[in-house]
Amino acid sequence: MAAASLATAARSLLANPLRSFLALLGVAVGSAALIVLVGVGKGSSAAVESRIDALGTNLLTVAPSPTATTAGGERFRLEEGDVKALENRRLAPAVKTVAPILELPAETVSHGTTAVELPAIATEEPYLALRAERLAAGAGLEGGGAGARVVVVGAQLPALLGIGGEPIGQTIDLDGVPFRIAGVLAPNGSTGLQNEEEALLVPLASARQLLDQTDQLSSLLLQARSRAKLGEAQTEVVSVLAERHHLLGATALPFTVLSQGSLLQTATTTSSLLSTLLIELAAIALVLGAVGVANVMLVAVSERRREIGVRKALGARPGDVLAQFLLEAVALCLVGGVIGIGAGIGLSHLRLAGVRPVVAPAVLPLSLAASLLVGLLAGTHPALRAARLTPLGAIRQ
Amino acid sequence: MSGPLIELRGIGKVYVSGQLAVRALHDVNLTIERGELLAVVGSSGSGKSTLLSILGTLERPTEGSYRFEGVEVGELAEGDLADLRNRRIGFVFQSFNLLERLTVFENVELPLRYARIRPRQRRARVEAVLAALDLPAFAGRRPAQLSGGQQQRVAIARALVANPTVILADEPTGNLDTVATGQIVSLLRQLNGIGKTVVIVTHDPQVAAAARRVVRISDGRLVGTGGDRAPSATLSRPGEEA
Repeated sequence: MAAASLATAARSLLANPLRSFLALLGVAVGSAALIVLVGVGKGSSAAVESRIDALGTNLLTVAPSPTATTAGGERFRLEEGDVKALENRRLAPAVKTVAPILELPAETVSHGTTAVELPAIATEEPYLALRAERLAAGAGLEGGGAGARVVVVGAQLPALLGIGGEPIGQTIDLDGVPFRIAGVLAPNGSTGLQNEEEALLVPLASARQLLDQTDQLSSLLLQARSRAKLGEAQTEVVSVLAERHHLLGATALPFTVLSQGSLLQTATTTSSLLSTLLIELAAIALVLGAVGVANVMLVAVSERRREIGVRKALGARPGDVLAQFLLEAVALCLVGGVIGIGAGIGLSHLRLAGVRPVVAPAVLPLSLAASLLVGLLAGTHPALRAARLTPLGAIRQ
Repeated sequence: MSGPLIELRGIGKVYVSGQLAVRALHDVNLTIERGELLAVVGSSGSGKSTLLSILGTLERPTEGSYRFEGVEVGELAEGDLADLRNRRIGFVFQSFNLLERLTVFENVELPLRYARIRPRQRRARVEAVLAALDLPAFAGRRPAQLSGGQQQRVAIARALVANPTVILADEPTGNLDTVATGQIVSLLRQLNGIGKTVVIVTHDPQVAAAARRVVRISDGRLVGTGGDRAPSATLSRPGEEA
């Protein structure tokens, strides 16, 4: 009975191949979208996690809270003195290294006639080591001595500025001030808004002298002496900064000290929000596919009233007719689902929005199950309509 | 089994469409015994097809009692009615009503599928009935590849395959030429000869002449329930006396 029913369903669907194809296309698109969008979500999470992992271990990031002020009502700012205090082994014995970070707003960076707007980071030599950045060529930020007009650039920046040949030693202008390229970072495959392949790092001292920057800092990157001392270091940082900024006894500190774990947690939360959003988009695509299938099945019931009447006259129970039309809807959706899975796997080999989708094996049966569910949802109403037709009314049609 | 096969008492049928109500049958009383060959005759719109639909449980009467083999049909649920149609009643329609996407074999097999009969048994029974009706050569063909007479023979094969008690034929020769009409009427008589109850609805007096009993319906009322008589031995040709 099951094989015969499947054969009947296939024959009914093939009787109108174009209509059936268009109906299953909606489900195929939804199914492919599910695989690709879930893959993009996972790929994006994996990229973020790997970048956080690449930051190195035992790291802490200190940054002012966006709207926080000190007890005196002034806006809280990190400054050079904080770096010095935290580097003091007596005040913060669990802190091993501190890298100050000053994020410079997007400036005009040019070479010859090529100019681009790029943000830059003013920092000191430990930054590269703490971020686990490797140099592909040249030296680090202190190659030319304190205050030298040197820059370290991301792997793609020379090409972006139209620098042909060896970039080391070439000069680029940063806000009109010439800087010599001292080093080029190794490619790390990063993409997105903070593309490290296009990074521009300048010595902090040079930024102060040449680019009219004050002694304020955007954030600090610190390394604890060991993973075990991470908590201790965090407490020391809070204590030192609170004392320096007269915050002792304050109920809420105007800065945050984040460990790598909390960064990872924040990133994971963001990624899972993104994944949920993408799954919802895929679900919307599947719902649209279901609407298409339901429409086709309603038309089929209307066109095949006489057939339904004849089947009922021959002894088909309402359940038999219901099962027949439900089977057709499910078969249509499963074929669409299988095509969608194939297309989704194919599309996952492409880089989408800068992300290489990661197809989790679990998403394939999930996609097929979603197609099955779509078939059941889309087929129920038309199948019930068919099952409720009276035999004579249908035959007379 | 004792008692009549079919008993209709006070059957009425009213079709309602919006504000309009049309009475198709009035107080129909009819008893059909096992093994009868009965013709229901009447002009177009007289209610004879409605009567056949009620006999076949394709629709329910709005009033009266219908007992089939002593069972009150009005009390049966839809599923039970489907079983009754499947196991006890064979339909032959004027327009054949074969399913175009199925082969002759598959069309004939349909009632057995709904009776949940195993594939091997289904095949044997379909092959037997096709052989009895001289149709094996057409088993793999589609209905559209057959003549009208051949299609009606396939429809009769489909009506017979589940071994029903009664064959209900609604204008079975309405779409056929004279030669095919003769063949189909002869076939229905043969079925009656082997014990099947046959009810033929027709407006063609020559087809009715083949029946042992003729009942006439006019404006939804039975105007003559007919008595047993000897059917004409052969079908009259147009222009000949019945």
